[in-house]
Amino acid sequence: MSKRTTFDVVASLLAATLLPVACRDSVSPDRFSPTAAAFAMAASPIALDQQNGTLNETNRALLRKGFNPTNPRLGTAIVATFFWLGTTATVIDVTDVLADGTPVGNRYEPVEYIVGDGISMATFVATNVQNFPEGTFPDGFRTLVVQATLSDVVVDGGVMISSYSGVDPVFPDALGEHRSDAGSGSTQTIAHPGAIALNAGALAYGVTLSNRRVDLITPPDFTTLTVGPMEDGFLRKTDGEYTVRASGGSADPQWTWSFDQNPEPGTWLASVLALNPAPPPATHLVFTVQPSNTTAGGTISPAVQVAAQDDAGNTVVGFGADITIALGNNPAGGTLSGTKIVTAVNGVATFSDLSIDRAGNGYTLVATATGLTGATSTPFNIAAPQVRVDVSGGGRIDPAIGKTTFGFDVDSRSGPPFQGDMQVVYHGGTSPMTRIHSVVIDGVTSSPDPRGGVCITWTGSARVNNGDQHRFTATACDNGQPGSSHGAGPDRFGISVDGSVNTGLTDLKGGNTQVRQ
Amino acid sequence: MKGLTKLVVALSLVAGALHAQTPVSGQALGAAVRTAATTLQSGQVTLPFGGGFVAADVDALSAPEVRVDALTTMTSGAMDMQASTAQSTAHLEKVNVLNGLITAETVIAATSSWVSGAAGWNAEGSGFTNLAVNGVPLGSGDYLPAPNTRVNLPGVGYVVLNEQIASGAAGITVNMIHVVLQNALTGLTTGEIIVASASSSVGN
Repeated sequence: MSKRTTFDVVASLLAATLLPVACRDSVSPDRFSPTAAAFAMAASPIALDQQNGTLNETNRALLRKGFNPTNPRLGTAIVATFFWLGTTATVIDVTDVLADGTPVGNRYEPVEYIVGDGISMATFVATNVQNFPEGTFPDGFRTLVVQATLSDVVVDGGVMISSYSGVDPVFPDALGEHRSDAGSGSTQTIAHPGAIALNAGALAYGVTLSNRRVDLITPPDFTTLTVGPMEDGFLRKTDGEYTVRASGGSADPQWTWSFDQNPEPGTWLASVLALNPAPPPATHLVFTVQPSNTTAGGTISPAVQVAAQDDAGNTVVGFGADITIALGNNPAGGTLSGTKIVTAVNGVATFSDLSIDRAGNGYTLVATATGLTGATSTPFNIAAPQVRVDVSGGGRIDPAIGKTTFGFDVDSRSGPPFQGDMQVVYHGGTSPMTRIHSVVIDGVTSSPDPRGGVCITWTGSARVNNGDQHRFTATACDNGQPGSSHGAGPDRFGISVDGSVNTGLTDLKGGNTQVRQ
Repeated sequence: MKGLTKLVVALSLVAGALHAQTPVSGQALGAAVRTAATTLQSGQVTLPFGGGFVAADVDALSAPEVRVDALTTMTSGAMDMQASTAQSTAHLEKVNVLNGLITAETVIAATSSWVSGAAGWNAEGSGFTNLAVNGVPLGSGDYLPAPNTRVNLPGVGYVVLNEQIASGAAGITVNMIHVVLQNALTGLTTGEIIVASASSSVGN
C-alpha cells in the first residue's frame, strides 16, 4: 500500500539561476547516446570514491559538510544532496571551499529539487572537480567542504556528499536521466522516484528523505552509501544509494518506509539521477574517409577525414586536439598542399582542401597526433591534369623495334572520348609491317617538356593490324620549335600497346609535332 | 615616333592575322603509274582544308610495273595564331619496280612544312633500306641518295631518286622513286612511275 502525492516544483525555492530543476521527470533523451552506448559490456570506469554526510545542522542558513578525513580525487564527480525542514527557504548557491575557508570554485549544477509536507531535498552535481589537495587531512583544515547557502535560516538541515571516479568530466555529457517524486502513507509505503534509463557503464544515484523516523528497507539492487541512513530528531531519516550498471539498462530505486510504525502518516521524498562514464581515451587515428584519386593540383574530394578512436574502435568525440597530415608514399616527388593541420571536432579532423601537384600512382597520406598512434591511408593515384589542347603531327622515328612512321590529330577539348585519330606503322629487319590504328581516345594529359615545350599523352584503344583492340598510350612532345628543329632537341614521339609494343619516347628523325593550347 | 609606332603595331597585327589564316595542305601517295597500258594511284591521301589527319593502308599492290607488299600513307596538319604546320609520310615495304629493275626493302618519303615567324620545309626522315638499281645495290642498309639523284635505266629511261620539288617558302614534294619511261629509239617520254611520294605545304 502506498500513497503517492506529487508535489510541484516550488520554483521560488531556488535562486533564479537554479530554476531549471524539476521535481518531475527531467529526462534528457540525448544523454542516452549511441556514443555512450558504445561502452556496452565493458567494465564501467565509475567507482565510488569518497562519501560523507550529516544531519542535525540546526538553525542555520549554510548547510555544509566536508570530505573528512579524505578528500576526493581530482577529476571526480561530486553529488551533493541537501535536506532541510521547511519549504520556503531557497538555495542561493552551492559552492565548495577548504575547511580553512579557502575558496575552491567548482561549479555545482542543480539536478533535482523536491519538497513536500514541510521538508525539502535538493541534489547538485559537480563534474571534474579540481583545485583542492588530494589526500587525507586529519587536522581538517584542508578538507574539501561542499556547502549550500539558503535564503533563510532553517531549523534543521543536512548534507549527503559522495564522489565518484570515472564520470564524464563534461557535465552536460555526464548527466543522464533524472527524476524525483514524493508521497505519503500510513502503512508500509514504497518511495519511488521512477525508473530512469542508464547508458552502459553509467552510475545511478538515489536518495530519499522522510519526515518520520521509521524502519526503512533500501533498494535491493543498490549499494547503500555507508553514510546513511541518517537520522535525527527533526528531519527524521534519509538514505543514499548508488549502483553502476556496466551494460546499462535502467535503474528503478524503491525504498520501503514503515510508516505503520508511527501514529502519524509519513511523507517521503525521493530522487534518482544518472551519471555517464567518461569515454575511454583516444589511442589511435583512423582514416574514416580515405583519399580519392584525383588529378594533379585538384582538390582531393570528398574531403579526407581522420578520426581519433579508442581501443575499441569508437570515435572519441571529446578529442579536440590537432591532427596533422602529410605525404607518406610519394611515388612522384609530389608536394601536398592545403590545410595540413586541422583541429578535430567531435574527434574528427576534416581536410577539405588537400591537393598534390604531381601525377603518380600509389600515393599515401599519413596522419599523426600527439600521443596517438598514427595512421596511413590506402594508396591512391594522382593523374595528370586534363588538358584542353589540340595536338597533331607526323613523321618518322627509328626506335629499336624498327623504322616507324606515325601521324595523329587529337582534340582534348572534345571529350572524353576525344575526337582524333592516330596511326603508327613500323617494321624492322625481316618482320612484316605492323600497323596500329586508334579506335577510341579516352584520356589526354599534359606535362612540361624539358626541351622547352609541352608533352601530350593520350590513351585509348587501338587495333593492331586490324585485329583485336588493345590499350595504348602515346606521347608527343613539342619542343616549341617548328619542324624537327634541334634547337633544344627535336620533337619526340612514342607509343606503347599493352606493353607488347614500346617505342620509348624517341627523337623525331623527320616530321613535326604541334601542340595548340 | 608615335605615328611610326602605330604603323609597326598595325603591321604586326596584320602579320598575326596572316599567321592565323595560313592554310596548310598535304598529300601522300604510295605509288602512281601512268603508261599507255596502265594508269593507277595507290594509297593517296589529301589533307583537308584546315588541317587534321588522314591515313590510308594498302595491304598489297601488284601492278605490272610496281609490286609492293604493304604501304601506309599519312598526312597531318594544323594551324593557329602561333604556327601552321603540315607533314606527310609514305611508308612502303618490299618494293619492286619494273620486275626487279629497282628494289628496296623499305622506302619512306617524309616531308615537313611550317610557318612560324619564318617559313621552312625539309624532307628529313626520307630514305631507303637495301636499295638496288639495275641489280646493283646503292649504299648499304639505310641509304638516302642526294636530292634528285638520276640513274639511267638502259632501254627503259631513267630514275630520279629522292626527287625534291620545292614550291614557295614552305612547300615540298618528295618522290623517292620517280621513273621516267622513254622510247628507246626516240627518247620521248612514254610514261612515268612514282613510288613513295609525300608533299606538304603551308601558305602556298
